[in-house]
Amino acid sequence: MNPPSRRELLRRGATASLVPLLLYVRTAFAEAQSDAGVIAGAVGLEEVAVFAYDAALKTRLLDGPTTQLLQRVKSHEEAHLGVLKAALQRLGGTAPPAPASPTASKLLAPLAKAKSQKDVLAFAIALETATVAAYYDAQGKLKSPELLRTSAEVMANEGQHLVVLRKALGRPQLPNAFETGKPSP
Amino acid sequence: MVSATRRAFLRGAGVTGVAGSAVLLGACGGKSQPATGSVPTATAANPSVDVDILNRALDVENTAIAVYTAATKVLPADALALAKIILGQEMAHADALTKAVQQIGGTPNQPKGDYTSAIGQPKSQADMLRAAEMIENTAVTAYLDAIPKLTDPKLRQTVASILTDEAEHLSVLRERLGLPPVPAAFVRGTA
Repeated sequence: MNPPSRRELLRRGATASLVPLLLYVRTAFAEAQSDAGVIAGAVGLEEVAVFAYDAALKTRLLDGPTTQLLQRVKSHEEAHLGVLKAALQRLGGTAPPAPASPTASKLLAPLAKAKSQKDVLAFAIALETATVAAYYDAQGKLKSPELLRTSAEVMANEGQHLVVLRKALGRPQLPNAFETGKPSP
Repeated sequence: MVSATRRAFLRGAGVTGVAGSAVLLGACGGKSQPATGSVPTATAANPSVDVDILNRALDVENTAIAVYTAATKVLPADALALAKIILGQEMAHADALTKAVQQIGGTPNQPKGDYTSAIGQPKSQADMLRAAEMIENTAVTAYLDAIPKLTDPKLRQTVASILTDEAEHLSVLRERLGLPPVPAAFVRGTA
């Protein structure tokens, strides 16, 4: 299963500044051929999510309820990261390095350009949607029953994040019967 | 401890002679894996195993359809719109599971005639929403247990996409009931 290209993401309506982040997330598992590789990708993905929510919370564009919402979502991403790092350690894998500048600035460019709370929420929805798609891919690659279950628990939680973020942005909360993180065929 | 309502619900979901939800989980593929460092490998593709798991998932979806169909008859307008959306999605899941069973050479389970025990006798909107929350929790738990047992990776992906949708239903229903919509970082069907 090939991750989308930059051109494909733009065709689907992603803004140019979002493309680096979406590519980073959607390719997290692309090269992985083993459970350790997939989980290492998931660790990298969750590190970026924590990093992104941290930056979102520093934009000073959020009202009180939205700040609380994003803090809660960030705490979930941190919990995912902790469990996945422990799983990776058990598998003998190595965690990827946390994104450093200038990669980080490129990934978070949409937040630097955000002018309103709506922009930040739209960024969070794009991030969560791509994350769901990455975990959907992981379900097709993982072999260990334990890791399949953990990955599914995390994927379902990312879907729940989408529900509350969509509501905060005034979008329909349940647009898809099958939450794959990908556009309908 | 499993409540009488929970037991009645499980009977309605097609699980009879059981002591609690753990048995429904077993029906969908066995008990959950302990969180240990061991890494067992999933079994090779086995259509008959997958047919059995998908059919049990279909039983849960058919129960959900019965619950939401009942809900559309008693809920007020604002909650009715939500129930109709979720009902449509549960029907899409049942349709996909039916087709998946057929594609791998199995015979899809048919809806049962009576789901009274699953629906209960709701006297208020809150009762109906709680019945819906219960079926969603049961579905989430069942799908989580089914995923590691499915032998076809593509079926695991389909089931994971349904699981995620059920988890989303739970969030919306919990919000309606005045509960935190996303109570935990890992969705396990217990909240």
